[in-house]
Amino acid sequence: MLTLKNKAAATRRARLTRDVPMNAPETMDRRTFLKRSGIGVGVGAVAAQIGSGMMRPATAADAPASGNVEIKRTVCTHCSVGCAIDAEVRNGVWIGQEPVFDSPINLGAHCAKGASVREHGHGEMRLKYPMKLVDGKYQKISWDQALKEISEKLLAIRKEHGPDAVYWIGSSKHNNEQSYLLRKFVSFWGSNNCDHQARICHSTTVAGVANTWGYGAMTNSYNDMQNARAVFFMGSNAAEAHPVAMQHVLHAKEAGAKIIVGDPRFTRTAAKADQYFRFRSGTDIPVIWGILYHVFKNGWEDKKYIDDRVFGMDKVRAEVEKWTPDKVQEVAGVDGDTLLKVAETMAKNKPSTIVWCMGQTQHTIGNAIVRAFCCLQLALGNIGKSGGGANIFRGHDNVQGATDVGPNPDSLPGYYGIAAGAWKHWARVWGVDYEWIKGRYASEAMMTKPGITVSRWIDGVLEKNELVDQGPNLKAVVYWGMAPNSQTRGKEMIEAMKALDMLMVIDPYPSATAAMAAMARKDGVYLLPAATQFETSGSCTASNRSLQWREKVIEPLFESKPDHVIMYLLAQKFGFEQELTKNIKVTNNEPSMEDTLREINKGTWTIGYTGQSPERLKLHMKHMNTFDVKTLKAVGGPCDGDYFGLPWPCYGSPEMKHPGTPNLYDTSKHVMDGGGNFRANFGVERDGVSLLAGDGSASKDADLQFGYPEFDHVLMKKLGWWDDLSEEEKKEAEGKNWKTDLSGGIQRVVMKVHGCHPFGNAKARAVVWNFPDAVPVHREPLFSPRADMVALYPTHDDKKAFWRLPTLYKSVQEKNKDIGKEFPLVLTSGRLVEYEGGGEETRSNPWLAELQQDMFIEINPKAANDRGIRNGDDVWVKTPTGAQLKVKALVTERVDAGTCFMPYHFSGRWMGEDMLKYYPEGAHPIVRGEAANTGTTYGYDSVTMMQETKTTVCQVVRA
Amino acid sequence: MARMKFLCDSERCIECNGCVTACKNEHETPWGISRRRVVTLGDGKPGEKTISVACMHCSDAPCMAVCPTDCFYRTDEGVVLHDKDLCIGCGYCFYACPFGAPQFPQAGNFGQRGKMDKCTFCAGGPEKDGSDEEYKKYGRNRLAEGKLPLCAEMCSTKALLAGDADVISEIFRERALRRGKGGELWGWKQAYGADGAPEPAKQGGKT
Amino acid sequence: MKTLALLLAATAVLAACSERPQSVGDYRGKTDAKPYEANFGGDKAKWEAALRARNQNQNEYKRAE
Ligand code: SF4
Ligand code: SF4
Ligand code: SF4
Repeated sequence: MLTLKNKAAATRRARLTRDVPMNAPETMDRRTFLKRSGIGVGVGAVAAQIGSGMMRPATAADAPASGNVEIKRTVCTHCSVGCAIDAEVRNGVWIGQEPVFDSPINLGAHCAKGASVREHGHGEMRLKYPMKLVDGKYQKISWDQALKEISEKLLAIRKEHGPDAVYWIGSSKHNNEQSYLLRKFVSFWGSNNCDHQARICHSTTVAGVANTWGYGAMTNSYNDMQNARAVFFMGSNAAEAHPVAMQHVLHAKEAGAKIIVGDPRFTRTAAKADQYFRFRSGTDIPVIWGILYHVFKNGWEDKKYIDDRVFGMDKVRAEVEKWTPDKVQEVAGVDGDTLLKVAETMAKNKPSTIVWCMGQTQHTIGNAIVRAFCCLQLALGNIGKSGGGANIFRGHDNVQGATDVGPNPDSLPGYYGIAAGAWKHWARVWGVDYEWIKGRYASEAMMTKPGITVSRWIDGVLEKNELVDQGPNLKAVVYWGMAPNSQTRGKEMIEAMKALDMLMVIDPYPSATAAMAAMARKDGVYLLPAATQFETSGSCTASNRSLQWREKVIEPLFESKPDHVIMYLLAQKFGFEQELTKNIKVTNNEPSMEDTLREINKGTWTIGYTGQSPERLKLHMKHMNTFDVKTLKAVGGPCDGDYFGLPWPCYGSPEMKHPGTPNLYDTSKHVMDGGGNFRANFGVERDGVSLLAGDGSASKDADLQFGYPEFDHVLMKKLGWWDDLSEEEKKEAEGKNWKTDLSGGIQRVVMKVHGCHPFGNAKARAVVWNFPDAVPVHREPLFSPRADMVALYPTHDDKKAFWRLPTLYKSVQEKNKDIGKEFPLVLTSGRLVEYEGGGEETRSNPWLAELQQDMFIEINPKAANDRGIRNGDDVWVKTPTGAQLKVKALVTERVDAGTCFMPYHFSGRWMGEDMLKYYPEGAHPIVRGEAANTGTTYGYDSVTMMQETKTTVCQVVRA
Repeated sequence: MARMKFLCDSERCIECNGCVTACKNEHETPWGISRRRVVTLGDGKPGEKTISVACMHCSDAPCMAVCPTDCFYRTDEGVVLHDKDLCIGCGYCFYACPFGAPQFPQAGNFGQRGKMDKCTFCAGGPEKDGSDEEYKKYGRNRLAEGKLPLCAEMCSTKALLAGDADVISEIFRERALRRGKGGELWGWKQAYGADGAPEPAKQGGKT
Repeated sequence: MKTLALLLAATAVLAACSERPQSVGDYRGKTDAKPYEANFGGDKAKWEAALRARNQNQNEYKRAE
């Protein structure tokens, strides 16, 4: 019998080699590659790291099958798509994870990260209790001791050097309430020195698009992409970075939409495209102008739209005319026919939409690149249209929310800025005395001066004091939910860490910060275990501006505490906990998240965070099934007429029942149905030309069918609308505008009674005259292997005090103009689907870690062969900073012969050395690798201080 | 009814590993055990395709035929399961399987799962449905809960379909018709035979 | 009976690839309950209907044209 069986087996075996592709392909795929190269790590060895058994929380397998199963609805914390999750909890143990088919955003779907979040409920590799670095080793301490020592040290620093000597790095993974509280917290500490991930992912977008048309956010939604007839990705690899977004994109594709991808790297998104073109990294503007060239040449622009709704397109046109196909070919390496086809596809398949991510934003000219892309959409008349828009995919789950209401160095919540008026507005909302806040700051000047950015904190420590535009250098840094390996110039960061008096890390996971600090120092480092977002509740804002409310799934594991509890405890030590929580109920040191959201509602009129009461959000979470997938609108049911998650702006008080705004600037809808127009934020006239929208161009059924400025009490009176306010409202609205009237009366009357937009009705600006390059122009990166291009397209002049620091452009570029001789390869970086951000959290999750066990560099076969490198070899990646990273070579045609790619999610190895010994015991990521940013170079955006990560240089040699 | 099958639509699969991780999560399979894998063809080149592969629960399952201890059985719904108590970890089934489905963890490390482990179509195994015993040996029994395989239910793009053959064929047919293009239904014929394969759509679907 | 079944199975393997109900060979393990017993009170039709309905969640065209 056995013989027969073996024969059968043999038959099958033969087939195996014939049919099974995984054994056949001549190019090894990434996963096979990593699996095989991972043998060095040793599956056994890695497995042995897991399950050290120390304080292991219960897993589903341990949970007795009795007791009721409760369902808690939460939202994935790994990206801005905002996929809903139903968590099954029994006896306090998270035993199962079910798809939420009802969610209109993800319809039950998840990528690897979302499908793995239940692991957070086991979390063996978590930071478990407060720790302190003693003689180079982390030791467990109590919360009491930690809080006491930390606060004493910080207060001593504050006393000696002033409040600006401490730098607070917040998190885009905090929920809205925590982000908001942190901005308030740092204000009461007395400084604007706070920031978060948005600085280094989409700050250029936020500044660029807000200055172009009004709000710094994705205009439409993932869902609305189903209505697009063409989708153009440039600098976005959604298939890895926003996988569930691809469900909507591929659905659109099935309905006939054309998918176009332009990227220096043939990404997995490119693999799904109808058209793909490669271009030289950093030449986005020439490419976009090269496309617009064909648009204008063929008269494909939307002339009426431009006349009515766009200011300065003629100036753009003049710049575009310089970018003839020949020239684009020369600079960007893309031929004219390819771009003609892109132009034609975008122009003839309207509505067409664009998508960009960090491929466009992380450049020294990021602010200009994104505006150029906006100009393409404005020329085609695609903004403010369903199926069109600028679908800017944000990164972290709440990076949009943290940008909107969180710790930004140049603004209070809601983009109010930090001028005295903004402070007075918020002081009123907070119920604290403006003078008291002022007294907390070093001076009034420091109160209204934008703080240092997270991309530059290292210079805040290391720069000569006389060159720093604030009293002290930075003496202490707080890493509160942020990865250090996501910032460039890692090598210099070590130096900065050495120079600090104190470093504090607050994080649920073992953190690269902790390990780097232990490598750099012997003492002066504290670690506080934070709870994850599954161990608390609160709202988060997805990329499409929808807010979703997370229910608490489980109690905080180990000794961890929710971030807002830690904030409260520290505030107590600093003596301002009363002010921090004046309107917020506190129970057992925990400020109520609901009350906090209500306070956000009470103050954030600018961007319409006023209508999303906790009650409304919870109702939406409960009735997800009633929302239409394509429009996001509820059809019937208790949320009838609302858009899912009340995407901001959701104006007025919750009682006004604004439904939220699914697509920004959409004139085809009434303002009370989410309609709108471009914002009047830049005056009414420029160079003798009106900035207001053209006649007949206004939101549906608005009383004013022409352009108008933003509303304040004066305009209300002039128009005779003042008496539409109630007596109560009048009292509050007197002397105020639509942003500062806490009664909401101005917004109510303008919108509900007159159908107009409170922020006015103006043109979008193709020319942003307040930016260094009003019309986007191409400039080479500071480190470019193309000396010829540097000569033709030089960068900006150096800046002296920019976000409190000297910032270099030309001097760095000049010095390195021949850098290509030594470092001939362009180095770019990006995402892997399994990991998020700096990656410590996801690399600590065995279900994910198993899938990507090695840090690698993608290198083209030609470049590899020229260097005697074979697939899977260990190589050294050398960069101009003197850093060298030991990684695996992945030889692939994904990149061209002049370009290399590295994922940026790794950390835990440092220039060849395993950092395991520097992590707190039992709290280290399972997979460790070289951080791409250990080797990245200097370079910052000329508006927002975004770091350049997407175009720098390297050399690769066999190890 | 109910002849349970898998279908992976390569036009939609984006290699996101959601399916693989969903399976890990649902069944708490240990490190090194992959009941499901995602395979890429032509990695990094135009025409790159990916598909998600697990035990296909073949109509004529070769594993069953070769197992020296006869530990396999096939349910009324066509799901191929096995009794771990009988499995001796010999590995014959692995050699017989055209999809490389059977997994063998390093012995000793993982208790019961030292035996062969493979995709159960989320249907547990021969222990009391929904019991701890079943969960520990075979993972969750979703079918008995009236649910379908989690890998497919969580697929990021709904590329991976799992369920009644007729239903999923119909879902696929509708899609293929719209895009005017089938998709490589890799493994379908090999696992289920030529009959009943969803027709690739005729040319000229909606554009 | 056993031998016959086994022979059939073996032929099936060699002939391969045709959809047909397959006998269980000589499975020697524990018997497994029917999937509709534990939670559907043995009502096969009800269980099948539940699965069919659930299956439509894999078809987003049901919610978005
Ligand atoms: S990471 Fe993003 S796409 Fe993936 S499941 Fe989470 S929210 Fe969805
Ligand atoms: S059907 Fe269940 S066991 Fe099989 S691969 Fe999918 S999730 Fe895993
Ligand atoms: S979850 Fe879906 S899209 Fe992602 S790899 Fe699996 S089958 Fe492919």
